Amino acid sequence: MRPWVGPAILAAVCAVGVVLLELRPREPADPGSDRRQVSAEAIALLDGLTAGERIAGWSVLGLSEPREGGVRVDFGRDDLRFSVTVTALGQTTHAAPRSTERYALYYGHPHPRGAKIPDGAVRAIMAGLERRIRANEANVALP
Amino acid sequence: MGTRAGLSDALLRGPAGLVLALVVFCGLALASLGDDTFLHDEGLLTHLFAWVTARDPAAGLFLQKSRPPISALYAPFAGSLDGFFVAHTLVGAVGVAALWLAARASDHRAPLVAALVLALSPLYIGGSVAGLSNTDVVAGLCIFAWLYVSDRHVAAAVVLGMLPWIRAEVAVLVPIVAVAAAQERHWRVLAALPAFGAMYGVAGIAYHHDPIWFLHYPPALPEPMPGNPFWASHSGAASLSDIVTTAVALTPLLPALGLMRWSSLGRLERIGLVFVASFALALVVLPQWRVFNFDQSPRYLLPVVPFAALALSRAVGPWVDREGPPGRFSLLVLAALAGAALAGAMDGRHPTGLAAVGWTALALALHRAGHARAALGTLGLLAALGPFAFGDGGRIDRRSTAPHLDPMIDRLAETVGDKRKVVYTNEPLLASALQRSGRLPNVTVLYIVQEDQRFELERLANPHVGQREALWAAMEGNAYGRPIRPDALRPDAVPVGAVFALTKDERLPMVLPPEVWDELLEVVHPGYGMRIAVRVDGGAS
Repeated sequence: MRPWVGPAILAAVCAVGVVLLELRPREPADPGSDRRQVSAEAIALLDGLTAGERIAGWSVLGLSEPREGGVRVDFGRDDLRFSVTVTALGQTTHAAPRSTERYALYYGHPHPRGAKIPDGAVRAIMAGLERRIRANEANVALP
Repeated sequence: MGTRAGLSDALLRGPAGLVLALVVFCGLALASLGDDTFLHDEGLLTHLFAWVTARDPAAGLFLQKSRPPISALYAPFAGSLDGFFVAHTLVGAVGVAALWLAARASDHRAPLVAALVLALSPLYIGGSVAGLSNTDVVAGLCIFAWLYVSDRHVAAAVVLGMLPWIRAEVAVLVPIVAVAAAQERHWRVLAALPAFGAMYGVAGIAYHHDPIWFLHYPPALPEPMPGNPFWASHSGAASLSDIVTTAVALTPLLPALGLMRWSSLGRLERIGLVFVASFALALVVLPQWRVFNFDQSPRYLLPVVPFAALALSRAVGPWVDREGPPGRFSLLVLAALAGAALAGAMDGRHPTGLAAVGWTALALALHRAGHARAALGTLGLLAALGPFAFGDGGRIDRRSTAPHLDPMIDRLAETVGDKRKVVYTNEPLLASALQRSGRLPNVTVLYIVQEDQRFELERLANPHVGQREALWAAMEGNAYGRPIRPDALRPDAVPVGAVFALTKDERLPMVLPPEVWDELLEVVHPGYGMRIAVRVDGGAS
């Protein structure tokens, strides 16, 4: 074998490795989540809420529908994130911190793990979502 | 064609190469000075000690922690942060020049190789601009190397003996050189090694009124402050991913050491490689036991670069004359390095280590195919990519060390508007970032000194001769902001309406106990990495 073949093969293997490693999917920001794209009904229930809108100074990072039902809204400000989940009343046995005629609102999933979300921010955001839901729940239902 | 070959020969072998290396280094370094890419806490510390030394030379110089040789060097430039950064970069350039001289004095075929390895080191460029003492010690090592190979062994030993007062970790090289000197019966070299320490120690007796002051007030805490939560949350163990990305941030040519033949190396290059191996091992292993407060910061490993550069220059320099075959086991060594780089890349962000090894393997293939000059050019291109593609692992840029800084300034601006405000902060870069960007001129920054910082300064300074208080007094007006000692941060001393810009830090409860301050601080901009709060009247003031 010619003496340059060995290092050339090694160089090629490294190059392929670099490309594959660069192309590998990055870890999702919220590993473990199992969510689908949000339905038109959910958007309508939230009065047309879309990613990028701001409520109480926090940005809507995205909306999604967890497999177990309801709609989840992710909020972020700087490096802090948390989410509010809207479910049909009675879907879970947990007491909801806030609710409307037909829906319950829960909050959680702080990121980074262990981060404390200020009570004022949670209250203001939940109240903002509640207003939107109350305005639409008579006409729209979550699938 | 002949002209082109003549030009490249002139650059590789002659003084024109030195000019090229200096232009490249200074150009890259000063370009990053403009946007504060490398504004760094430790660089500001170097400036702080120069600032203190300029204002109270005796108190500053006879504090071993102040890194006296460089505090004296930079004291004339401490009045302006920009002046300090430029002076620091020029010292980095002196290192590049000294390494070129060392390679030429060692009869390297292409001294440019050694100079460019250093001049294009991502960590060396960033550290030089940032003001890190780690690059000062590298410049000192380059001067040592030049003096040593120029047969000025005594002067080299004096320089080497001084370097531990800049960075204690390079003391590892002293016994290695001492053993080499003893083998060659160079007794004057052995005597010269402790010359600086002896002179410095004797000079300090008059100030400290203590014949063994340098033992009573050492340069670093032998062990961390008891109960410091900082260490509880920082793992000292190095991950393979960090080691690999650090290695290529030092220089992406590091894998090319695998092309070297031990038998071709000169005396200093062998000493240097023994140092590289023992130093790197010590710096990767020592942090696990918290010895001398070392952590896994990549910058600690910078002293390996000049010696790696000399060995590389010896190994691949002869390729310019189509000579100097790579070592017999080069392919095996590169394959092993590729395996390590691949394993490290699995949990890393970018496979930079694997890319560097692959590139080096390509150079080896070209050399073995009879294209030695093309192989050298390939390695040159890899080095040139260093500052742009391999610096990630250095972790000294502001984006890595203080990602929360820009949001903090934005939120602070929303909070204070154009009102005159006093801002208390534990963020070391806030005051200098505001000053250098010209934002929020209506804000006066007070820097909250952390409890372990106070502990360290007071443990290492002499209270019996007034050194502690002299140091505190000399720190007024430095680039961190006006220092507020932990005992001065009391509710009754902080006016209602004062703003707190706080970086996430496990040590913060030691100076802002939650049971006292939680009801007195209203968080107006929450965050994880940082938060902004306003002092309110909680009825406790």
